[in-house]
Amino acid sequence: MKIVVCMKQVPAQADIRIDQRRWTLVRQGVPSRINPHDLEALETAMTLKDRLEGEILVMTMGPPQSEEALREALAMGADRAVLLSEPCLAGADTLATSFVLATAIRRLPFRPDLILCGARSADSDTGQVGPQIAEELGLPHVAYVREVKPCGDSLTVRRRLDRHMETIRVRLPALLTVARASTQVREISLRSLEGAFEEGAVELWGVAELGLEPHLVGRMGSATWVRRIFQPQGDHKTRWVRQDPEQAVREILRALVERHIID
Amino acid sequence: MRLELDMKHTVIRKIARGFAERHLGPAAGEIDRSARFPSDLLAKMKPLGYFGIQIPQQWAGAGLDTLAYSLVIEEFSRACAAVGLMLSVHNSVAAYPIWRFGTEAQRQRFLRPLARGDLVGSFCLTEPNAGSDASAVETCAVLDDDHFILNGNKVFVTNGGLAGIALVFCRTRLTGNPRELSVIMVETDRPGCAKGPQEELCGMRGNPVCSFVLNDCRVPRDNLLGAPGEGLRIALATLDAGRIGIASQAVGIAQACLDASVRYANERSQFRQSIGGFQAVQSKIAEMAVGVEAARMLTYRAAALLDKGGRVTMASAMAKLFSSRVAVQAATEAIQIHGGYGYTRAYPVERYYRDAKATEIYEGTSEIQRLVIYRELESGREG
Repeated sequence: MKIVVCMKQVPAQADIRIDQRRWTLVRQGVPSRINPHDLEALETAMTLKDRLEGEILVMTMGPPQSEEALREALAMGADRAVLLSEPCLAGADTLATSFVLATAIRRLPFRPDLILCGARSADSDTGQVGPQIAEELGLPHVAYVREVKPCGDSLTVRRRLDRHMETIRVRLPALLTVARASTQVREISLRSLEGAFEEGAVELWGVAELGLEPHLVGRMGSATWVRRIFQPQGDHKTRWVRQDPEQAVREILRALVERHIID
Repeated sequence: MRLELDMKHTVIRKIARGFAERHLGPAAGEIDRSARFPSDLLAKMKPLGYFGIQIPQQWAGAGLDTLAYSLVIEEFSRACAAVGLMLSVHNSVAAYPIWRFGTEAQRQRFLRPLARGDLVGSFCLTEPNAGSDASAVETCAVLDDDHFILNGNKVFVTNGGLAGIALVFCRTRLTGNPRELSVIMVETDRPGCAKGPQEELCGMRGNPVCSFVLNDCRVPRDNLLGAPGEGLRIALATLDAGRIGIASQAVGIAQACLDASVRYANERSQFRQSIGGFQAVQSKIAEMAVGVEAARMLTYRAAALLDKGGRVTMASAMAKLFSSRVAVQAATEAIQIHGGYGYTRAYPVERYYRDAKATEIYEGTSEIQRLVIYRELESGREG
């Protein structure tokens, strides 16, 4: 089974800093880690590889230092790594990001059977990139998957929705986004570091390798722009209505209409 | 000159820190209280390459360098110094000298199982009458045909209780030099090799330190490490590297003191504000942070120097001397910041204090480190 895992490097700390001019995350000089859900996606891929054999390719779009996340993934057991990095790729929204990742997947020398992504990133938390890659590639996708079981030429996946578990059979090739996987992420052996840091273990692709024009990617290729980031000034005041039920309902309705919440 | 870790070492630190936080930190209090080294922890560490950090992959090691070793020991000691000590000694004064001085056959027999963690190693220099003065060793090995017969007492053997193999420093008469010292590798299950009970230690209590009694213990002649009479040279070279490990332990403990102090200064409130708001507490923590960083730099430098093949006698002695002092000072101040609670077992800082103190003593006391540093200066050799 050939699996592609898309990953993102996110700041390791909880107190992230925002570039006040570009409204992007400050990544320079900030300790980073692999996005936790992406690690789970990689672990899911490794578990499948343990059972079915195959090859795992990890891919990330990001600044040059994202190479660290890929090397770590190689140490964990990925077989190949592709870094999509060039200044013009920066500042991409989720659409431009998924477009570039989908293009890169299309240009791989093989057709993956499965693409795995983390369900959400710890920093921007949109949950959009995985499903958008699937749409761009015209693949079936299931989001927020916890368990994956191979089943012939398809997979049986389980995910938890609000109050129930859903079991879905999905035909391959497909894309899954993983969150709160039931398997624990494995510990990395120091023995795997030598190989992970071999020269050439990470392939570097820019727009030329992707066959794209700079205006289609990054900030220029984005459909949305962040105009401002601010802390919402929440005014959470709880008002207790302590009357008999009929009067209370009337009172609550009146208050909602008054605030134009309902008409 | 680059003064920051490269990407590979950043990842190594991250891996070791993750393992230590998940598996060592939660167990550290109980390991100290029970004075027992948990075997399940050993089993978890074995497949991850921690037992042969600097040993090449062909001998089942991880094939990393001294800086990587230093980072692992620091991170492990930050979470649980007793485990950091176990790993430090195993790697630096057991596996490393066998790799460096052993024959191919010896590497096959001993290094492979050591690097895999199937065997734990120990280093037996200290005796009741020989500590800082290594030349006073009384244990002797007499050649009888193709075997050595060993007799003597070794004390304070770190990892002793776990050890499957011991590097024993002893007197031999192979070259005609009356002061001749050699190193013989002794499998601890040989008849005539008996382990004493585990020492009741002040700190590092999870490490099964014990004595070894060698009573007509027969060991094949092939177990001689290095050339006959090369014992002191092996000991000194091994300790140069070993001291980087102890310095790394001290940095890890000092960092743990700093972490605990910052946390507590924010948590603890007195006079209606967190005690971190008081300058007296702030300056203690600031001093601690400077010490930790300076100790870390000295330690990394010694490690990097060894990796470049330089002479590290002075650099590793300086790193050990300074880092162990920083660790003890940091632990003292960490207890002071925690006040009465710091003096109880409810908080880990009293353990840090007991653990830190050992780093000023073993693998050469601070006094011996100063002696080593002065001798290097006197001889005009660059550190």
